[in-house]
Amino acid sequence: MRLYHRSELELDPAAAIDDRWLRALCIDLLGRPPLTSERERWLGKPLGDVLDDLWGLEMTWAHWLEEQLYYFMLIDQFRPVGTSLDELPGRLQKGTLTAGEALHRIGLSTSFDLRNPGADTFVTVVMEQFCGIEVQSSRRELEIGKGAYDGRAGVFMGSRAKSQSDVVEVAAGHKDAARFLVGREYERLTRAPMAKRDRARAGKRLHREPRAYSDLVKEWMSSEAYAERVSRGALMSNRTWVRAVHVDLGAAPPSGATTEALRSALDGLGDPAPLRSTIARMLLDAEGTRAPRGPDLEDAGAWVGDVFQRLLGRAPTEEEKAAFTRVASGTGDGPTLVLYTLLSSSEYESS
Amino acid sequence: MSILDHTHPSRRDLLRAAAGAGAIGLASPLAAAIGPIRPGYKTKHVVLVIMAGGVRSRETFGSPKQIPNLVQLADEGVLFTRLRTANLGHFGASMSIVTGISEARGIRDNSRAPDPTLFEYVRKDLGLAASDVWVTTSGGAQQVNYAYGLHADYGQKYGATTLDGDGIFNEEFKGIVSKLGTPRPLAGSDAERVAELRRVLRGGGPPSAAEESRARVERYILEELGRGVTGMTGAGAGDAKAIQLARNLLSVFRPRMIGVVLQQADIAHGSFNGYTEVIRRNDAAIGELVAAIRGDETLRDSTAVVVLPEFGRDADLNSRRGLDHGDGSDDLRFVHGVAWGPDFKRGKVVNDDRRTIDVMPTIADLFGADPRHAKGSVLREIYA
Repeated sequence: MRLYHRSELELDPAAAIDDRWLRALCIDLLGRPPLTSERERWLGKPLGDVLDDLWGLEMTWAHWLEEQLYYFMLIDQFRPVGTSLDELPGRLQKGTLTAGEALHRIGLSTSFDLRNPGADTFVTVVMEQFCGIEVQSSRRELEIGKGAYDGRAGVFMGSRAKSQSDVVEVAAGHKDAARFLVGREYERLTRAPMAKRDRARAGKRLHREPRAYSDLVKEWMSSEAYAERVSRGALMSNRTWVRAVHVDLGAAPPSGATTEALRSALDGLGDPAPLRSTIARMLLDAEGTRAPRGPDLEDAGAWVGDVFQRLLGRAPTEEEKAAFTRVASGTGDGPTLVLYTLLSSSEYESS
Repeated sequence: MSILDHTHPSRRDLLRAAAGAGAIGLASPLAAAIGPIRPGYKTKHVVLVIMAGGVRSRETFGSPKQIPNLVQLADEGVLFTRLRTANLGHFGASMSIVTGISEARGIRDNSRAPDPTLFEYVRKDLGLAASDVWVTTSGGAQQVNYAYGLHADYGQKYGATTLDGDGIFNEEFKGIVSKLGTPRPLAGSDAERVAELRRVLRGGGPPSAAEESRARVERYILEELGRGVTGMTGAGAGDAKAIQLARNLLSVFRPRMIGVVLQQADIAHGSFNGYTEVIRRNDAAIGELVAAIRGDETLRDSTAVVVLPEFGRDADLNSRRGLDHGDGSDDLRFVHGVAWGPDFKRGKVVNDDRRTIDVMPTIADLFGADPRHAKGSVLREIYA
């Protein structure tokens, strides 16, 4: 069977995906690696089919929403919990709401208002984050927006506005917002900037067809740019790393509260590697992980091969296999040491 | 012999010193005997406190009873009464102070600057280890971007080790550590086996200096979780944690440079009283930091402290009886700042206009580093 491989850039939607591709797709769209059942379901399946499956899942949109909330810095005490935003993933999955409309809803939320208090901050952030406008060189527009925020009617970004909610509506529905959204989402997924011409074309399409977002993303994830992202690996965000390490050790994602507490702690370091290492060791030492102990391993070599595939998306080299098998089959916590070494490696962080 | 010859230990020196340092825990290998940064200068350590979040001069040096510790620093050092700010978003304005360049950054922009930071210049030019240059913050995820920029000649390998006080040392994270249990230290044959697996995984060769530094930071975090920082609560607790961390880091690592970036004065948008309470609490915390420096024999006469806000706030209250920052007034665009240290004048007041982006080249000059991309100027008038 023809497989997408880490070094292969000639894409064929009918070709099957390997562990590296599946891991990258799940990390980017679900915010975690595949569960065991998902690996069994999707490994070796055509890329196009897997993308269709993933975009049909509510949890894909739940991850999308988390990424957007993080983009708007609606985290920690500003994180909307138990609000009407909770319904967004379900509505996005059913197609009763578009990505642009979901962003508009975020801009209208109490959390967004609390995060960005006052006319100057609020209008500045709306202009910057919805439309990518450099406000320092658009002071006049800012002043009109601030007036609208305070209830004075004006023409803000080409449309009439006379309230705080009008400011959000105008910016969220502006053609610049569509172009800016496709640019930043393309970069988020491929880890590469979008060519200006492509951004203009895709932005125009999204502005004209607001429901085209999923199709655009599927195109990007079947592109050479995405194949390059899979090939070179991409540094996991702290939130994704927290979920990944739980899935890779315990077969299930952590609760939202645990994810946020650990993500917040990791975000507090310029270089999160030391704390990631600590967390990996805490989880390995804790009860409930599936790290087998030495006597439990019947075939240490096969286990090492499987662990490399699952955690790094590749087979071990001969030298790696020999060294890791030697430790895994040795006395004491050999398998735990193998898992700890892999989980704290820079390669694991760049799935 | 050049300045760098005095301050740039060889790898062999570092390893030898690190072996000795192991016996006393986390102390920096450079801590035992470090000389002044530049010949003829007394300063060995610098603490830069960016009192960010938007703090007007009216509530600082315009209300001296509210900030007795900053007033005392000014009396013993140099007071700037008109520091012009670089831009008016918290993130960009604070970034401008550490890059020495007016940075047009979005308020919620969560990305690094294209320009090198003070921390990168200092680390690269003086050959300092990551544990010699720190940044403590209170503003969460966005503020770790102050550690380093994206300039090809600098970047992550010269970045500051950055800790957000409230992000790490909070009850939620401490609760998870309590629930899962503190990880067992890797020792003996386990440590040797992991070291060997890591060597194989990276394709051979010794561990990098960054890996060694990370291991020490990991141990520091676990020890810090057991101290009192986590339990700090109330208005401005995040800022207080950032200052407390700086104080602890000074005593543990004796770093050359610590940047402290505060943020919680921004509560002013909705609460004027909360804002003044944050200022009072931060002044008290800075006072404790300076008291710790004065009480430490090795820091007392060799540490400089520089304090300044990133910008002020509007001249008038908003409709919520709070203070925004967008009216373009002098209250917003000019702030007071203080420089205190063994090489600075005492009791000097600079009433002429200066810029917040001048602070970075001045500190770099104190270190003998060359901030070649910065646009600010060295404030030579502060030297004694």
